[in-house]
Amino acid sequence: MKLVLRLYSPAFRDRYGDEVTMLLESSPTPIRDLLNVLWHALVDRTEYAVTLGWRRSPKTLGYGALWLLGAYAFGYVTEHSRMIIINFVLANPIFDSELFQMRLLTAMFIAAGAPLAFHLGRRYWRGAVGTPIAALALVSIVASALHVDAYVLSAVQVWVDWSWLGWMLGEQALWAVAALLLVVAIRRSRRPGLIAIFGVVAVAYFESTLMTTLVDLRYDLPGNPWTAYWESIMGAAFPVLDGGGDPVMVQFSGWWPTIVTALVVGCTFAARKVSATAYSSELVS
Amino acid sequence: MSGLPGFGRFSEPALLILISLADGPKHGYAMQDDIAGLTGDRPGPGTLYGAVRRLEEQAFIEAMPSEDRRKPYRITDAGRRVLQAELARMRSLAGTGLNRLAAA
Repeated sequence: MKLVLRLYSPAFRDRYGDEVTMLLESSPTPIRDLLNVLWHALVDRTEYAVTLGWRRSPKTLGYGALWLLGAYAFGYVTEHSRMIIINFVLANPIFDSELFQMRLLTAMFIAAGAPLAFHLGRRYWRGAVGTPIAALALVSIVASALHVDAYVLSAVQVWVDWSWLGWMLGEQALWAVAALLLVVAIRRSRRPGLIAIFGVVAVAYFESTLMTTLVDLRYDLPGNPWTAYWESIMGAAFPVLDGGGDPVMVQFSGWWPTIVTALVVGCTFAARKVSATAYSSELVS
Repeated sequence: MSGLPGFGRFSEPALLILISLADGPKHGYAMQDDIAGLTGDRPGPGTLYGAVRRLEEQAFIEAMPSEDRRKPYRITDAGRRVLQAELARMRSLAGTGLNRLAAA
């Protein structure tokens, strides 16, 4: 019972902890009520930490801004660090092992992020920096596990033209704005779960449609929706004509880094906040 | 749609709490029993105090001095006005619906 109550914020526990405990002790349906408290503790904490708190606290506004910045940074940095590492590995056959490449990438993120995230204490700016980086480390592990083959194979074909940097940044900004609008919609909705699912599906549908068109251009064949969907997640390179009529490759980073990172950063932030405040005040039971 | 606008998923529990406190102060357990009598469904402690928290933040209810570990709550003047307006809106809505059903 105490453990469940610790999921609430210290402010809630100080104010209502005794009363909730008393109702649980005298409940005719203790299991049902304990689950009810567990559910509301998690949802309440999430709402106040991620959404309602934004209205009140410059600190949480800062966290929100860094949350989005982390999403930008991850989408951009992974796109290029992956290329640099893989090109280096291809040029040095001794490292030509997919497993080695991905472990190297993962190790880089963990080496940079873990100390900051977990050992720099609870001061605001330290936590704000450490949280996104810890989340990036987590995402890189997942990405490494899921996308090894496709990344390595596509990297061989891709030429990154820096003149397209503006386009890529614009794409990242588009997804960040989409993520922000999604957060606002979720906050205002009485059906936040449905809005979240709808938002992710809408983003995936939009990007898949775009990719279908580009796959048509690249292969001069009717687009395969499954190929397009997969490429919309993974990112891909497409030849288009520049002003002089020469083909150049345009690289799309795909939508998953922004969405996945936003989700993981949000979850990591919430978990850190819950664990940091679980023992910050005493309970009377 | 029933409940208080702006309270999100707590709009219906918040409305029921205001109705429960309309005839006098009550502590948490008494509110649970009263709401169970009104609706046939007893709200869990998480639901109840999630709504209590929001009602207190909006100054629609306020805590009274504690009795042992139990803390009674009472409705404020602002809470009465909100409850009055919301019940009037629901009555108007129900009247419209019933009239349409009768006419159909």
